[in-house]
Amino acid sequence: MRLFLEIARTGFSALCLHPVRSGVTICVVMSILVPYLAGVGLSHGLRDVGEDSLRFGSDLTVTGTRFGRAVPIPLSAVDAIRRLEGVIEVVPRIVGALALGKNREPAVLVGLPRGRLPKDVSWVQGQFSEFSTLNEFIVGTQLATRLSLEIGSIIPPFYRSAKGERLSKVVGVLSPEAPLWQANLMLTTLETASQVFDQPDQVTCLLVSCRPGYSDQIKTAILRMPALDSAQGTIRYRVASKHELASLLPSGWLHREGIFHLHFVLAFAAAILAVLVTSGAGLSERRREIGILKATGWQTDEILLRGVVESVLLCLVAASASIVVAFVWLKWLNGLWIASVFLSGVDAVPGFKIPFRLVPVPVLLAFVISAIVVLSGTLYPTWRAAIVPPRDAMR
Amino acid sequence: MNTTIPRWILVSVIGLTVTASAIVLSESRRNPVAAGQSREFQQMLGGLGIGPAVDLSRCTLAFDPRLGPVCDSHFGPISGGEFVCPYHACSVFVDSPAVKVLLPWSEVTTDATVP
Amino acid sequence: MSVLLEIRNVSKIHRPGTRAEVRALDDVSLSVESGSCVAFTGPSGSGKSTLLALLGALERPSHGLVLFKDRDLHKDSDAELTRIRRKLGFIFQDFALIPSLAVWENITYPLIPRGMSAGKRLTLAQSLLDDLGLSDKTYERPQQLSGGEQQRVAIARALAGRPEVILADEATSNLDDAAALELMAVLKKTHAAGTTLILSTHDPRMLAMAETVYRLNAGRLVATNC
Repeated sequence: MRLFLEIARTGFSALCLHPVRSGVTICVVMSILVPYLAGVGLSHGLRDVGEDSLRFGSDLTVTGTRFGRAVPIPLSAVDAIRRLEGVIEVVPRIVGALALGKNREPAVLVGLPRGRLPKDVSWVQGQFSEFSTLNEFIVGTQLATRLSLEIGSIIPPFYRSAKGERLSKVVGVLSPEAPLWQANLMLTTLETASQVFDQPDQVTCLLVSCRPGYSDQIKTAILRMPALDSAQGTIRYRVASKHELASLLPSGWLHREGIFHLHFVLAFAAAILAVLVTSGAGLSERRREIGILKATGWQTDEILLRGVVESVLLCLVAASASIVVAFVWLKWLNGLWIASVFLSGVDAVPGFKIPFRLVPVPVLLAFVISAIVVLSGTLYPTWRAAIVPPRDAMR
Repeated sequence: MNTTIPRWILVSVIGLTVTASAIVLSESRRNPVAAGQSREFQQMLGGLGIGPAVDLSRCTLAFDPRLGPVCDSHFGPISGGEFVCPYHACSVFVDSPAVKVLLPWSEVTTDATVP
Repeated sequence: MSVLLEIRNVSKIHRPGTRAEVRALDDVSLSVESGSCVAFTGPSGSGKSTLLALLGALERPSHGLVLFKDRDLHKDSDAELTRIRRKLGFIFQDFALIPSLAVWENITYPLIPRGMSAGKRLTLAQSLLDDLGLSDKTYERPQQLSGGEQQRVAIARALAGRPEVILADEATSNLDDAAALELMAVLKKTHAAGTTLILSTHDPRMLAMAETVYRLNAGRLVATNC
């Protein structure tokens, strides 16, 4: 055991024997691990807020469908659904896409009944007034930044409506701490949203809250309700329940982030080659050193043990440094650039607090992967040098 | 260089490992303030957004599959094209068959039979 | 005196079967008695270093037998050869020191696998460096030393394991006169203490130390001078 420890100590100190090689190896591993950890961290953060959306959202989401595509649903459906047994509440909601400003900045306009709009919540600065002749909006942080909007800003008419256009006013800005879907949000009343899209008496979805255990029964009842007639033709109901949506967030490693992991498997394979090349760059010096050790009485397995300790330390340093850098990247640099790769529609400098969570399993996986990369890249050349006669290795 | 371990290496390696472990321990749990705000936001809006997008300009499915169960980029002319929609394949929605549960004909529970 | 090392009909062929094939040694036989001092001489490329490497278990012969205490090294495993190397001390022409290790570590690095603690190794290194007049160089790096000093460090490394045999390959070729004389003094002292010396050299002063001188030419033993 003492012999083992003595040799292991030489592996520890061998980190400095070839500082350039050690540094390059750590950098190669980090260049793969940091984006991997940051990406997985982002995915977990995103899943957390996605699960919140399901958990705290409505039990059923009812939309209209025609030709298999989502279409608006007449407001008259609210009363019909409200009468079903087990229904607690039916909230009409409008969600639509807009483009604002010279640069056609995309925005998500959400209209809700006035009673549902936020009052005195920590994630909104400002609030709607009771009476106003202007359209009032609470805007998301990224949109506010892109369009230089702040509370009190007046937005000239940006839509065409049969009832005529009005000026719009920003009455609030969402907090960067609120979930990421607030980034380009324009929150307003149902009436204003209806006017902006010029779709009177139509909403994009109905949010149905049910008594516990009634969800499936109500869904079936809604689907059996007669189709709705509109000027454009028959509209059928489409209902999405919480558990159906939950199936979109599979938790298994094989499903979630599948393509992302596949890319990184390829990257790790490339990293092994890179470390091999790095080791090869200093190989003549390393070969000679191993030859001297063999000539002076070191056994092959002792040289390999020394190499293993050195490699494990290299990967420990690389993995730990990667975790620290990934954390700094996500927390203090707020996912600068990488968030725009993982999240569609996000600026290189995100205008909101990006969600992330560094969970232990990917971190342990990162350590194992870096160990595989470093051990494959360094032990093989060491072994090759250790099995040849010392005189050949020293040449 | 020493066969006795240089102190600065020892301190650096231990320090780095402890820092990394502390980060993982603290960041593996959600910030309760952020979780509270997320809950309030979703309760108020009735559930808005699930996927890795912050607007509706590209793939609705990526923003929220409740708004539209079909991704226009989903059925491309490329073999395996369902996996290459850059907006919904990147982070959360990988398992595209699951999206079928939201399609309007998903309520058909039995296969057609020949009389 | 008993025979310590013996080679019988040994040949060594580098890159066999290729156009670049070189017959470094051709059917050489000789023996080295315990406690003796033997020298090999001859022109460059005559096979002196190869012969020394075979006797020092640093490589295996292509044909023939290399016997250490009547044990055939050719049949031994790599691990066994390494164990035998621990009984030998090799002084290389180019010193073969590890540049990133301090002098004391270079001397005692071979003792790490033998389980000697760092404290004991440092004490041993200091004692050897005292004997060789390098006590103030304990923590220096090899590149900070002169050629003579580096060679003395290499000798200290060879002596550190208390070897039965010391093999010195052109040990004075990179040294000035004063350093060469110092080296020879150390080797004489070691030999006087009973250690077998096997030298490969052109230096007539070194040859004068030897009890037996073997002359090699083109890989063949051409003369023996007793």
